[in-house]
Amino acid sequence: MSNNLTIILVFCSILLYGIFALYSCAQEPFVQGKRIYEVNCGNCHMSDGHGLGDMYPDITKSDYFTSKKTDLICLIRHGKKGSVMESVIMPANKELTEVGINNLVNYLNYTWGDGSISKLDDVKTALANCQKD
Amino acid sequence: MIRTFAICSIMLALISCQQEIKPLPYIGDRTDIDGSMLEHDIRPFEFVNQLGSTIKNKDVDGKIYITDFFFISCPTICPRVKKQMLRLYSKVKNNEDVILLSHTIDPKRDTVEAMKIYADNLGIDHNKWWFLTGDKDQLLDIADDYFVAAYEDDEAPGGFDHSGKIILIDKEGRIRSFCDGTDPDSVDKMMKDIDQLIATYE
Repeated sequence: MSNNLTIILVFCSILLYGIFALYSCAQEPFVQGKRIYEVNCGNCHMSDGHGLGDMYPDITKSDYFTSKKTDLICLIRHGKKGSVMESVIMPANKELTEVGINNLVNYLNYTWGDGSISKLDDVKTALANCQKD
Repeated sequence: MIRTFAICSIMLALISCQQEIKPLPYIGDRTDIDGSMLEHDIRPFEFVNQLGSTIKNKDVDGKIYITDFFFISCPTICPRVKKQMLRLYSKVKNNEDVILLSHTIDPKRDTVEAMKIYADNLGIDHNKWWFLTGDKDQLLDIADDYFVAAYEDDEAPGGFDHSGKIILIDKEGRIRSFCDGTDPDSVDKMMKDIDQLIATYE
């Protein structure tokens, strides 16, 4: 009888642990990066990353998150001229700190890229070597 | 006993049905003109759309229309509102009675040509969704009639401050609903209001 009780208790513990573990995984990482994205990028690229028609690019399959990662950091900092209309540019983000850019890049890589982790030194190095227009 | 229960159920059902078809309210103050109360409406206007055609009140007479205010180089909420306008466009694009109007508040930069490029890049039908430009004062003034805040402000990002409201106007030019164009849930409610307004003309 007490054996059965032990088995049930162990089973319940494992179940509870499993639920807890699942719940922890469900918590979204890179919360700060997401917040920076929503404030600085989401108005045009949208929360879902799909942009708006051909006016604002869909970034969900962008190569800036895979093969052009260094360019991504410079693009965030310095912006880009509009490809569709002169009056529509990607603005520079001079006010973002290096830590902020790092958080943002990690959020972008996690959400739409290869999930690789950027380090603060990567951001510093990339920013020091940005090609100015 | 059973009969009473049945009657009560039917009455309850009727009451709940009636609530569903309650007409949309008229928004704005009424004006007393020679004893007859007139609903708030939109002043006479004359703008130009992305195809270069002049658009006046008579061109929207007999149409339900959905409208907003924006400017192309707007770095803040405008693209989010346009995304929601696109959702509304997709919903009504096959209904001949409904059109969309987007007013610029920056006509200096948002010329007919610029509006055409913008509309092309949204991939919309130019006869279904008009992008209106014209005299700046007239554009800013008419925003008042739609209860939209829109004014020049050098301190605001992009040089203009404005709200992201989307407004629903009936076939007689009266405001029947509005929503927050930056909030998809608010736009969901507007979709129901559009269905309801269309239903009143059927």
